[in-house]
Amino acid sequence: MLRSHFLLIILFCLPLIWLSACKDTTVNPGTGTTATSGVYIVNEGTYKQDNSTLTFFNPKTDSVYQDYFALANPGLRIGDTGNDIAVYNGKAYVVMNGSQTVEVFTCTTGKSLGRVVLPAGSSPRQVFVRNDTSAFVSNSNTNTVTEFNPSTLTIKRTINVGAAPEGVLVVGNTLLVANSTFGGYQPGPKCDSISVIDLSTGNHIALFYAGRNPVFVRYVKSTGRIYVLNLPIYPDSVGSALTELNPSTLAIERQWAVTGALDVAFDESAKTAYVVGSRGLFRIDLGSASANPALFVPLPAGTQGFYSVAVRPDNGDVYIGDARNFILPGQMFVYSRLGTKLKTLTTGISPGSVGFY
Amino acid sequence: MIFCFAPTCLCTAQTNPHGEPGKGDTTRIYTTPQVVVQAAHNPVSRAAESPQPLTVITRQAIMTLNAYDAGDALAYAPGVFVRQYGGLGGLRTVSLRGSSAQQSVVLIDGVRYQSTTEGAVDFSNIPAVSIERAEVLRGGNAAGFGANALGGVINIVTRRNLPSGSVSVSAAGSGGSFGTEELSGGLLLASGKTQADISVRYLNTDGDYPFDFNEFGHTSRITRTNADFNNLFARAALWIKPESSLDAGAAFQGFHSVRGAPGPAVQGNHESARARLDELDLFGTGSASVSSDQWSARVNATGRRNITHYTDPDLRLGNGQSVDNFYNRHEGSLDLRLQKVLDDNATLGISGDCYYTVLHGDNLDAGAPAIPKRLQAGLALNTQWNPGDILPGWETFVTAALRADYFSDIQAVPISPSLGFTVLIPSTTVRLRARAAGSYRAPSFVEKYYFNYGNAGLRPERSWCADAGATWQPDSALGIECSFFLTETRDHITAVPRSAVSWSAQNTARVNSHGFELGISGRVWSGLADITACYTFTRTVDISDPSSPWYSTSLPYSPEHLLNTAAGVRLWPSVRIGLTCSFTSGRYALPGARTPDLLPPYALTGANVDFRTHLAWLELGIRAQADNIFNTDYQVIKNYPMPGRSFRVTVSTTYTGSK
Repeated sequence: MLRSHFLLIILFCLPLIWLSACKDTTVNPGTGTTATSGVYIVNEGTYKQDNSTLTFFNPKTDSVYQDYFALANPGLRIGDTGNDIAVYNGKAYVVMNGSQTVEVFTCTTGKSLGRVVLPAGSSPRQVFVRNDTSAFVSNSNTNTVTEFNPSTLTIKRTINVGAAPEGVLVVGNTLLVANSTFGGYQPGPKCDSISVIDLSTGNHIALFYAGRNPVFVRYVKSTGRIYVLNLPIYPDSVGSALTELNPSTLAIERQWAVTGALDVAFDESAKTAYVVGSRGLFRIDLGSASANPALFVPLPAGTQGFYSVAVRPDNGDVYIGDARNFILPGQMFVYSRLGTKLKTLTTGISPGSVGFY
Repeated sequence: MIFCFAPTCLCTAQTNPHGEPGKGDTTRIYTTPQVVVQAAHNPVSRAAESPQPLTVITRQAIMTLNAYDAGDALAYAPGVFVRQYGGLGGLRTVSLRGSSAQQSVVLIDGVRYQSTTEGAVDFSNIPAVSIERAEVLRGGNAAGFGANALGGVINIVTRRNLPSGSVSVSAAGSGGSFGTEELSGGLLLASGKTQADISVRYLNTDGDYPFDFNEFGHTSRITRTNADFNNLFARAALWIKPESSLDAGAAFQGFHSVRGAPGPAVQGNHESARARLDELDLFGTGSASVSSDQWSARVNATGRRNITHYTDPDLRLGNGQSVDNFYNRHEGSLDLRLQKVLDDNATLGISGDCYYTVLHGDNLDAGAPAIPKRLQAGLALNTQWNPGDILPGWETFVTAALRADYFSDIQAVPISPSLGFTVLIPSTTVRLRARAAGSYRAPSFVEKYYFNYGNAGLRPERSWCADAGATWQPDSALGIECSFFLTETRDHITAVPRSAVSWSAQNTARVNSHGFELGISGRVWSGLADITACYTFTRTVDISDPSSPWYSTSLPYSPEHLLNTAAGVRLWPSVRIGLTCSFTSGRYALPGARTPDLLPPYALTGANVDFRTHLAWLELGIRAQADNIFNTDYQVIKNYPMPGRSFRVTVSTTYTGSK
């Protein structure tokens, strides 16, 4: 009886197993088949060479596609100097710094949905999607933040912030913007500050300081804290650190110095921060009161330095970008939470931001 | 088309040291690459016995090409690649034998013209009206010409020689596509012991040429904007010859140019769409020479002032305001050359020179001196001799030189040697030549001090080169030359990316450049047709590190094949129909020789009709020309579109009279 039931179960499950596998088939750009999950790597390219690309990686099938945006959209290229990516509701929003656009496409197919065209000279840097009708992109050259509708791809308003804005974050009805000054290259109003803006009015309600050259600002739900990463400043290349702030008071609660910090990513479930530093990738246990940055992945031999970091939300895998010489194709190393190297992906030039869906 | 190779040019030049035909003892003057006994103001021209390949682009050739500037003319010399960043208003630099723009010496009338600040010359600021001839000497020769002469030497000769009692007045005006208009004029007076010449040129172009651009999935025809160019140039010179053995003069030239400086066109954006460049340049020279049958001496002095103003309202840098930078440089030089005829077979020369540069500039790196300065001094010896009986019946010359330099801001004292020989095969017009030389280049102020790019610790580039070739004149109206060359450069200064958006000058590469040059020039069909053709094969590769992914890959913007031809047929005595064709092979925009970075090859064709007649004592000319007839869409430098088909009509008149 049990054996016959067992056989029935197998016979019943087989189609389900087969259908499940079909849903995660290898993506064939342009043919309509899709991948239900995947990884998009924004390769910045070489500045003003108009050679930014996307690398698409499907972890389930272990397939990697170079220049994926062009493959999925024949005749279309993504543009010049891709800087950031945000994934929201099945769509990806990629900031093209040189082309002054935010390119939008469907995650599962890579098909372009159009773009937000920003005013000439904006030099957009980072993007944050708040909801179906509101998203923000920082414009480093005009000291502004543009709010756009991510569904209609239309510009709603422009908000004045500080010098060379980079990271953008919305918490509640408040917009936080990191005014980096480009590490001292571009001083100006509200130097090295975090703008706090009431989205109802578009006005500053506070300005606070968490160190020089703030570039990334993130909110980690599991710790309930805001984090600001300060990068080194010109010309000394010193002073980089990760700062933890109380979201209610914006008071600095903790700060960790990481020499040569370049990028930061967070593992929500493990309450862990990963910071790219000059000696490799550092891990900070945010859940520990006495946490110190610990070297998680040292620089491999022959590597001049890591360039970017991202954490896959569903399993905590860590993606570490290596731009190599910023001219030839780069690499992305994939590590597990435990520090086991899982694979090395070849990417385009200067692998930067990563989007997961 | 009158391009000369060394033997032909020499025959003309050696007739007279002072421009009067048939006088002076020419048969036993032995020349060196550095100094010529006869006319020490021009160290390049008399280089028939020089083992270094020389191409001379005469004034007639420049006029036949209807060149706007020196860059237009230089393209027709073997080994030359003109890098153009857009239309008339775009930067124009020259690469010799795969070298960088900074790796060539540019002279005006034998004195150094390029600045320590950039190390390169923008040839769009040297109008054709001021050029008597352009001499291109290829291959490294720091021993003869000092720092920077890794790729070769370009000498722009402005001085013209007219018989005493002559006067020449010329004027020309042209109009063409994209709102281009040019007015130029010249006056040359030779009276007794004095010669004076004045030339002026005004050029203006809107630069709004259309080009195809693919963005966001569509190809559309758009117009290049902010590519206008307005240039006013003037030159005045006065030479006196109180005695046949004395020669002295002074020349002053200046230009004021205002132009748009658009950057690359990328998808969705034209970089630096509103950037502007305003430049005022004043350059004065004074020289004096004395000579006899046995020795000569010459002293040159120069002074230069250049004020450059660059603005980009869309780029914020430094103080958070939009870019608004001034660069003010003062330069001066003094050089002395002595030459002695030792005996019937040999000469010996010694020369010394010093240069001083001061730069007051914005946007310098944090570690740069507040006011960069450089004092450069050099001492050189040169000799040339005929070994005589080593090859009986073969006219042979051996040339050797040695130079040492000092730089106030560089911890090095480069020593540069050169050795070569030429042989004239008996009963022929075939001259063989071969040489080897060591050369160097001191880093420019831009490479050392420019904001976020400069590297104060740069070492000079060092190179060794070898060259062998031949010239042949099948008949008096036709010349053929060929050369094989090999150059290896160490500590090559390369722009190395430090991040995705910033680059830095570094001594990184070891570069090998080798190739072949072929040039043909002259008249055929009893002089009814003229032809100039030059082909260059150059392979310039990075050989720094065999384990590097860049090993043995081509350097950026180094096309392997270059072909330039110009031909004309005189259908009637007063009508000439001409055709120009050029081909540039593919080249890479970035190191690494990757397919995505490969720019496609392009071929350009032009045609012209020239009508000339005499009306009383005036020569009148009307010329109509079309360039890029097939409207080829091309880019010399990636993302800098070039103009398509264009038209131009020129009207000119010349009066030449004598007492």
